[in-house]
Amino acid sequence: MVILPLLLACADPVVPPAEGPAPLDAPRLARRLSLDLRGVLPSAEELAAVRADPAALDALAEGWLQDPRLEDRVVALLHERWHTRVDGFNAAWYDFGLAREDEVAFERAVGEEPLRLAAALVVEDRPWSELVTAGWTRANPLLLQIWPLEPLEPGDGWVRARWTDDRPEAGVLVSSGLWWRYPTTMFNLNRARAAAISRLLLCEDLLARPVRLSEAADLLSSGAEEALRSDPACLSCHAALEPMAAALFGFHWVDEYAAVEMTHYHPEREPLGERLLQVEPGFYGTPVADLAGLGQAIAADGRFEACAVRTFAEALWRRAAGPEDQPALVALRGDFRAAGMRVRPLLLRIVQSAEYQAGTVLEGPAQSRRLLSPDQLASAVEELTGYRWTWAGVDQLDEDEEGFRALAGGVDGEEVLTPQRDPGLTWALVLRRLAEAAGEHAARVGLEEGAGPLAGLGGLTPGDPAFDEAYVALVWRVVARAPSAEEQAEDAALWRAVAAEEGEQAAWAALLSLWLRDLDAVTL
Amino acid sequence: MRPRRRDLLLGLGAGALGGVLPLLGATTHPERRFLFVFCDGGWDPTYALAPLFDNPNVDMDGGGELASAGGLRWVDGPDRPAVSAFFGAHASRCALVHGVEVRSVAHERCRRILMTGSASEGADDWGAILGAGAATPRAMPHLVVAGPAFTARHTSAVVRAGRGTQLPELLDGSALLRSDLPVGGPSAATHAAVEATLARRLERQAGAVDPRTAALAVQQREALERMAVLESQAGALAFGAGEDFADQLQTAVECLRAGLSRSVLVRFAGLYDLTFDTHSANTLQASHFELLFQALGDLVDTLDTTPDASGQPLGEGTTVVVVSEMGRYPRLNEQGGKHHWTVTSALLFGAGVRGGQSVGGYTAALQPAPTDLATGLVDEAGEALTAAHLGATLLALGDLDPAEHGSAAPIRALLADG
Repeated sequence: MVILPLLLACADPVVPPAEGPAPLDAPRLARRLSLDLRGVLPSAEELAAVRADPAALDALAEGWLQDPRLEDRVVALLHERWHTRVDGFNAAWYDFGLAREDEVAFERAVGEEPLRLAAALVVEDRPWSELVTAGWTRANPLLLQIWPLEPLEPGDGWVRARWTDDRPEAGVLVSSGLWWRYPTTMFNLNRARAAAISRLLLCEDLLARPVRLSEAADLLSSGAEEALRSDPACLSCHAALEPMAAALFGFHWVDEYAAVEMTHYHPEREPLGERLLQVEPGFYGTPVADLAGLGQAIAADGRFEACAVRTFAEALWRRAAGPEDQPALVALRGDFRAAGMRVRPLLLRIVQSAEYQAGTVLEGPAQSRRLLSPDQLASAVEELTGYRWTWAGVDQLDEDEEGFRALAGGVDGEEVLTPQRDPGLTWALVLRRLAEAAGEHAARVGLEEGAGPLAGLGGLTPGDPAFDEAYVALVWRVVARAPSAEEQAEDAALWRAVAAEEGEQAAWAALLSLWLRDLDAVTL
Repeated sequence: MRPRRRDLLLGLGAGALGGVLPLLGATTHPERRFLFVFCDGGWDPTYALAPLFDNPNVDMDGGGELASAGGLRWVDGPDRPAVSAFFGAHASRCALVHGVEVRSVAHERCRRILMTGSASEGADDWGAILGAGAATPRAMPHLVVAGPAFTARHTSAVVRAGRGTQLPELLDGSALLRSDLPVGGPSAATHAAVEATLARRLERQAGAVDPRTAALAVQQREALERMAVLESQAGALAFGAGEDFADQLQTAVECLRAGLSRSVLVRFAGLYDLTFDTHSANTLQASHFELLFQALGDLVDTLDTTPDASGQPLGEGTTVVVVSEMGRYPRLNEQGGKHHWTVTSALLFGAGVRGGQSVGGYTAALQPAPTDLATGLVDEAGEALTAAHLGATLLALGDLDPAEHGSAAPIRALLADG
């Protein structure tokens, strides 16, 4: 078992349990870590280092946690819970004078704004409490163009930026991207948003509580609004919802489909909350002055801390935590607190856990294999083969109107809210087409241009030492293990059969596409 | 020799098994198919389905009138003639279920509860369970053309069609035409060779010590088999072209006809996709119901005139379930709309449904009236109906044991064969 060194002086080493899941071998664990933290396969050199000395994974993992690609991974993982990277909002690209070809870029920019703020806290190793207290957000050039933001640093990509419309300093609580995804209506009065805050940031899903209106006897006589304030059956949830909702009226839109309304914060409307909801802004019994106060109250709530731990643990374990996971979550939470609520050390502790490193699980809640998510598939295949499935610049594994994100097992944030855990028909279909395209591209580039993983292999056939060496190295890159003798024989037969009919380029394309669909390739 | 699963699938794809009675001990009918029509937004049952004219707490549509035929009572209105046209023609085949409680007023949560009977994220929806439980293997056991789908254990049985033409494009390979880097895909012979090699490897991995690895290998191999079935038929299938409701129904009927799916989900979003969520201008409910029942009328005609693989009309073996995630508050608000409500109605018709009746009911406060599950009549000694009762009924219609999927009992009054 590989024990990663600790970034935290105050944290205790993780000791693998005497009983429980058997861990992955070091190369496969390196593959899992690399894909989870960077979205790419380990390099040949990295795999060689781990094979020579499993303890080398310690330093590699430390480095991968510093890798800038961690930001994209955090964005992808948090989207699975926050559901903000959707294919449509109440305002659209044309409301801002953008071109049609900017549609997806517009939707992704809006949806990623709160996720990028969160991810920045991870990669910059800042306290997670800033998620709800920060006086800045993250923006890309498109958002800087259409929203009241000014950059706080130079850069062509996502940069730190400041809102210029007098919204309070409250991190994602003043995120336009978040509230565009979770709009409210003149009847809902920000209650849905308060419920979203509770679910996303506190892991308290108030909507999961059954609404038993049969117990709200006076509902029809008194009216719904009065019942929400006075009937015990309603108050069980609304006592928490209403004060939080009352703090959100700077985002109260007169017309919920008007881009100009949606774009700006409205400080003059903040008092409307108390007037319309007849309750002071507050957080579970504690009055707050405004959204900044709400953010501080949330940051001080132990549930916020616990929710962060649960969110990232479930994201990396790739399953929901159950009651049997409580001891592990409690331990992680203690470490998280001791580390000043910094997520990067938390991620390290999670990937050190026996849960995460499980390779064979005969019983218990741990999960051995996890399917690669569409974003992992796309980035890993691109890094390996140079092929990214885009059309008009749009990543086909990251979009659902014409693309295949949900069909490949991803979360569309609207109708598909949890990632697919098991292979299905459309998952297999998307995988097949991606693998075919990537194999074909890599073979062409490798044999015609001498680039990529198949460079320099022209003229070789199975049995040639150079062929066999390159073949084994390729398999190692893709699945972090050597091919078995049976697989080698099968592959040689496949290569020869295809080459005989269609040439060596087609043969290499077929071989690579086969391995890209191998169970060891599509799982980690 | 025992037939391999692939042989069964291929046989099914060719229509060979479509008319064979499934090996179900107690059933005397072919395996039933299910078509779920999800009406988005939370409809107002009092506009078409629930004639609550005697309830002083309910603001009924002023233009609405009680109508009845064939044992069914509904709400007729001049701005939604398709409702009466539909029930007038098909009342004997239709059952209305009233007073179904969903115990939430949030759209996302209500959808989950209505379709699974539970607020839990670990629950599968009825379509997934029915698809996974099919005695006859299907290439796409539960096809989600559009609408909310919830799966946990039966993920591999659920197939999403995509919002446009993604599924047929993936099947025929034209999806790769939409690639900035030029790619064409392999030849048929190369594809066959790759598939055969991959299948052999998955077969071996299915024997892995790690149960999860073994299960994933089996599921991936089954997915390849289903893919092969679909590819063999792709050219002959007339998939709908997009998200339009008529297109959705076309895809649904096509996949039911071809025996590719046991269960299909489609989504109806109403006039201009405004959905039934009428917090203002509740009169829009009339337009939505008019369009819905026009489409349902066309659907019945299509089902009755389209033969399944055994040559029988598709309608004889297909149960249609028309639902919405919630009801609407009994009273109009100041905007002429109605807010959310935790109790709603549902419409069932087709195979196995005892038509010409309304079961369940509403109390004066528009709560679920206790209902005798055997008779469907309101009875103080009965149970308040929930989405779980509705689901248990569907599972019973699908010859599955509802007790294996929850504690609610089926509404036996709805079952034509008891």
